[in-house]
Amino acid sequence: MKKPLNILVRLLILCLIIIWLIPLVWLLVTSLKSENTVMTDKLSLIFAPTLENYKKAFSSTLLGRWFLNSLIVSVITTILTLLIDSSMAYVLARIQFSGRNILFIFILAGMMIPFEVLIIQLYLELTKMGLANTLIAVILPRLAMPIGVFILTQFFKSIPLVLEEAAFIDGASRWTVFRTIILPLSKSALFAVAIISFINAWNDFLWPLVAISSSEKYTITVGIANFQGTHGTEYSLIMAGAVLASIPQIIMYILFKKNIVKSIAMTGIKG
Amino acid sequence: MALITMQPTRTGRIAETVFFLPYMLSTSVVGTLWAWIFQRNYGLANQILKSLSFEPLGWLTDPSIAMTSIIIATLWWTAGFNMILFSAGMKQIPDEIYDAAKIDGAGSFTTLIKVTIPLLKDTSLLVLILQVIASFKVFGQVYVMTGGGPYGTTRVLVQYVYKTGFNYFRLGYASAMSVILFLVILLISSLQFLRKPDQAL
Repeated sequence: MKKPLNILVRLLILCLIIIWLIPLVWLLVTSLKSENTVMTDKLSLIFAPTLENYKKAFSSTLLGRWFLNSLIVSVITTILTLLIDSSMAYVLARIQFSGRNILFIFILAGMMIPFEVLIIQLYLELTKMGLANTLIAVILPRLAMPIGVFILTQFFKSIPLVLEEAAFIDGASRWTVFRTIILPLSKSALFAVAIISFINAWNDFLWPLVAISSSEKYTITVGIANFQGTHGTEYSLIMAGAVLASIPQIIMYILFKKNIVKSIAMTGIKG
Repeated sequence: MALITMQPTRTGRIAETVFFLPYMLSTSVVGTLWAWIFQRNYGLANQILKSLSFEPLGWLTDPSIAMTSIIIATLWWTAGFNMILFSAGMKQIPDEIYDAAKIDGAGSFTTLIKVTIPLLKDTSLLVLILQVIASFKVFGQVYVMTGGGPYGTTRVLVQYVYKTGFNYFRLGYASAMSVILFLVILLISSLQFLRKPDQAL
C-alpha cells in the first residue's frame, strides 16, 4: 500500500473530499448570512458575513441555557462514569471473589442491549422515582457504560502486579495503590473512556428528548431539533445554533483526533 | 436500509479527517443541516438542480424520494466510522503479502481486487453487521428531517416506538415493540460470533 496513487485515484479522492465538505461549508456559510440574504441570494459565496444570527441565538432563544445544560450533563456524566468504571474495573481485574467472572460476563452482556429499546422502561422508572424532567434523569442512565468497564479491566490486567506488591510491602492500602499507581499508569485508557463518555453524552438525542419536557431544561441537541418547530423558516438562525452545538466536538476532534479515532475503532461504538 | 459504504482507505490524512468529521456531529445537528440542504425553495440541493436547469425536487416532501434523502444524509454522517474500521482492518494485512503480489507482477488494481478485498472479508462482515444494527436503531435524522412523513414513508422502528409510547401513551404496546427490536438486534449481533475469533474488537 505504500505505492504512490495514480492521478485518477487522486482526483476521485479529491472529489469525494469536496463532496463531504460542501454540507459543512454550507452550514457555516448559512449561519453567517443575514436572514434576508438567505432567502434572496442564490448559491454565491460572496456576501457580507454577519454574526447577528449568533447574537440572536443567545438573546432571543434559550440556546445559551441549553448549551449550559449539555455541558453540565456531559461533564458530570464523564466524571461519574470514570469514577464508577475505574473502581469497578479495578475490582474485576485485581480482587478475587466468587462469582467474579459471572459478574464480568453479566456486565459485558449489557453491551448487547441497545439503549433504544430501553427508553420506555427507563422513562417509567425515572418517573416513579420522581426524576422525570430533571437533568439527573438525563445523566443517570448514561452512567452505565459497560464498554468503559471492559476497556479499563483489560488495561488494569495488563499492568504488572509487581508494582502493586512493592507498594503493599511498603504498607500502602488498596486505595492508595489504586490512586497512586493504577490510575496514573492508565491515563491513556481513562482518556479513551472519558472521550467516548463525553461525546456520547453531548450527542445523545433520543434520551433527553424523552426525559425532558420543559424547554428550559433541554440539552442542546433537543433544543436545536426543536428550533425547526419554533423558528421554522429562520434557517440562518437554526444553522448558527447547529454550529454552536457542534463546537465542543469540533474542538475535541482537532485536539485529540488520533485518540478519538483510535478509541472508536477499538470499541466499535455506533451512535 | 443497510448502508454499506466503501470509502477508499488509501487516502491521505486529510481525507481521513474530512470523512470522519461528520461522525462527530450530533444526529440532531446532522438532521437540521440536511433538512435545510433539502429545503424546497432555498435549499442547496434544489439550488444546484435549478442552476443546472433541472426541475427542483421535493426532497423531503415527495414520498418516493424522502427515504433516499435520509439515506444520503446518513451516509454522509456515518461513512467515516466505517472507513475507520476498514483502515484498521487494512493495517492488519502484512506488507509481505503485497510484496509477494508485486513480485508476481500484479498491478495496483489487481492487488486491490485479488488481495486487499478478500483479506478484508472479516472486517466487511463486521461493518455489515454493525451497519445493519445501526440502521435498525435510526431515529434522530428521521425525527428531525421528516418526522416519519410524508404519509409515513420514512417511518422507522424506533420512531414508531417513540410515537406510540410518548404521543399516544400506549406504553405496553411500545414496550412490546422494543422487545421485538431487541430480539432482532440480538440475533444480528450474534452473527458476529460466526466470525473467526481473531482480531480484537
